[in-house]
Amino acid sequence: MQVSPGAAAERRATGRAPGVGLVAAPVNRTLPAHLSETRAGSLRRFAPMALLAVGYFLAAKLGLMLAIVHASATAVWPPTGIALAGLLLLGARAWPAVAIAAFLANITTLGSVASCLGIAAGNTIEALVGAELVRRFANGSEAFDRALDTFRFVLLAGVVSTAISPTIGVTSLALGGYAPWPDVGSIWLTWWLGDVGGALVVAPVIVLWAVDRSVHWSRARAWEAALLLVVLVVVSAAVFGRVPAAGVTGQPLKFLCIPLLTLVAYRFDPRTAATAVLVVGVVAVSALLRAGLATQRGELNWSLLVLQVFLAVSATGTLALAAIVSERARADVSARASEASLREAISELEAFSHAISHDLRSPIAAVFNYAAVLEEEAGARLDPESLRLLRRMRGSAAAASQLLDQLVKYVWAGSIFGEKVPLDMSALAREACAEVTVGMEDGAAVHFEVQELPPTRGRAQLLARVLHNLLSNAVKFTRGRDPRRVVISGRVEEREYVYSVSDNGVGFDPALGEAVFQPFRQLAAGKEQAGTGLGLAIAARIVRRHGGRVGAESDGVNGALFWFTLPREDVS
Amino acid sequence: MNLFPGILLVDDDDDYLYIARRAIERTKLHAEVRIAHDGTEALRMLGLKPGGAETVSPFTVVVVLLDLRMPGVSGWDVLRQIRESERTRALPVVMVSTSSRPEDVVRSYDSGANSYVVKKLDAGYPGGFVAEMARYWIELNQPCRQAGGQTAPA
Repeated sequence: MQVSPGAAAERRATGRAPGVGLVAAPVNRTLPAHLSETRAGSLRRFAPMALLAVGYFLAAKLGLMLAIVHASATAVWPPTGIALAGLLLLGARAWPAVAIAAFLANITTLGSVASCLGIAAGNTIEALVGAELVRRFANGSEAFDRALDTFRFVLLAGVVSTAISPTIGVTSLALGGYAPWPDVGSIWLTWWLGDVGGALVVAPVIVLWAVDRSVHWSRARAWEAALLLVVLVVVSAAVFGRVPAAGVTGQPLKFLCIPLLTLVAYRFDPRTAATAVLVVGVVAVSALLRAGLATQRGELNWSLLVLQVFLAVSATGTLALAAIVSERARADVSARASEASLREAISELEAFSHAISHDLRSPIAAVFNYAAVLEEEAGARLDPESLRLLRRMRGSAAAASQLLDQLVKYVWAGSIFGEKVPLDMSALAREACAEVTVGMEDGAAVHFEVQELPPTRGRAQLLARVLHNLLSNAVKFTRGRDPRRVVISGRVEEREYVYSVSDNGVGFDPALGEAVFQPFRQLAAGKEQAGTGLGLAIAARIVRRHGGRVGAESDGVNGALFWFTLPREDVS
Repeated sequence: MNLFPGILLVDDDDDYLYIARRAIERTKLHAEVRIAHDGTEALRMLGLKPGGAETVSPFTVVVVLLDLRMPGVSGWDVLRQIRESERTRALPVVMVSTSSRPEDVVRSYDSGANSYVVKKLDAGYPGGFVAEMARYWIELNQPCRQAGGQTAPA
């Protein structure tokens, strides 16, 4: 029972609508009478249903009053949206509310009991089918949170299910003799478009406000909303407040509303966007009807049809955009949350590794020291084998301690402690050579050659560690060679600096490739040597933290070449 | 009345305390080694907390070797209270820790530590680095001692 040109509309228009309150009251009185539960429980259960019935009835009567203003039409048929929203929120069991309200609204207007029952059945089935389709395929009352669900809602509840009521209703009218058969097609179309408008303009507002009623706007935000509301009302009233004489003339002006609705959808949320669409709908309908009083009936009806299409299209676009915006906002929030939790996990891991190393160091030191004390005080009384075991105990403790040191450094290498500063890499390399020469037992036996290296920017301590680790690795690998040579060289490439450390040692299995930089991947030749298997991994980690790459080459016979790059910051 | 200059070792690690005390005693330094097992005990022994000032006169302590991470009152807390008290402000404090984190080192010096030493395994005799530190603060750095009015020269 909506936009009905011709006989159907005459039927509604001529009927005197009785006082709304008189009709609503029995609905309220009769519903609780069906119940057997406690008074409070039944009130809680049936209050929403009563509200739905009253709302539906009032909206239907309002629609009929609009039809009285001009005999041919009510522009938007809000009851469709109210019924759809009601069944979405309350569940299918609320259908009697829709059926009763629809029947009462019709019977108090005009028509036989049979035709009114038919129309009420059509309205109820339409709402049931629409709500079920949305629940099943478009995420139910959360349909407007995601763009895809919004489009599904538009198609299923806006376009498909809304064909049910006009089909049943127009058939009832025609069978009852209230609509001439030749007019059935145009009545059906008008009826259907009215339902489409109701479903797309009214239902989303009710559903969204019912799901979340809280408003958290800052003062600036509230002002923005108020300003947009005023502009929206003024523009809607201006562009819809006249009936174009020649049909097409003036129609494009209506599209002035689109950027405003788009802005609301972009700046606010789906709920506000749906409200804005409703505002445009209400203003447009009332403005058009007022202007239409002075116009011919046929033209006004035509304008109302166009308005319904316009509102349906605007609602679709606006709701979809609002859903996309809120989807993106949610994605931002969850991305920020996962980034924060990742950060937290990393710092927890760092704290954990420091705690572990602190707690492990003490017992390892105890083993190391007690072994030494024992050897000192009782060594003379021990047999050679026991003494040897005691020394091995000490050696193992020392190895464990060294591994701990390296582990801490590995974690440290991943941190971003320290600022990037200009670095003289040649000087840094010479320092590293000196350190290795003094620090390693056989460091002095190696001949180091530091060539001119391109300067760069980086964290001095960390890059010094890279050079130190590559050099000590090279020193280990040249054991047994004579002479032992390690060359540090560098060159400038188009986008990066390349630094390499080459030695004339035993090299490594070429099949290993990049695996040499993995933690705890001791190179075969290094097994007898002191080492924790972390030195190269630490170097690689630091280089990658600086945005560079690492690599290693060897034929397994004639030494090895380890290189790393650092990005040039003077070229982008 | 004890006339030797006192070294206060503060640490929750008994093994370390054993080794450190042994090493210092082997140096034949004329120094008395005092031990606190946590921050609260250290503050009490320094007279910075009521209840223990009589146990060890604060003036006999000439250097504190202070562990960083202890349950309850941490090394930093002890250091802060030493520096806040007029009487102990000039007392040399050396932070001794297994941590080599730059943050820990920087924070210690910012809090007024005189030195920061990382606990390492000694290639020489056990606890050697503690003994060397003790020797430095007892013998070599003697003229700088401010609070040691009652201490006898070594």
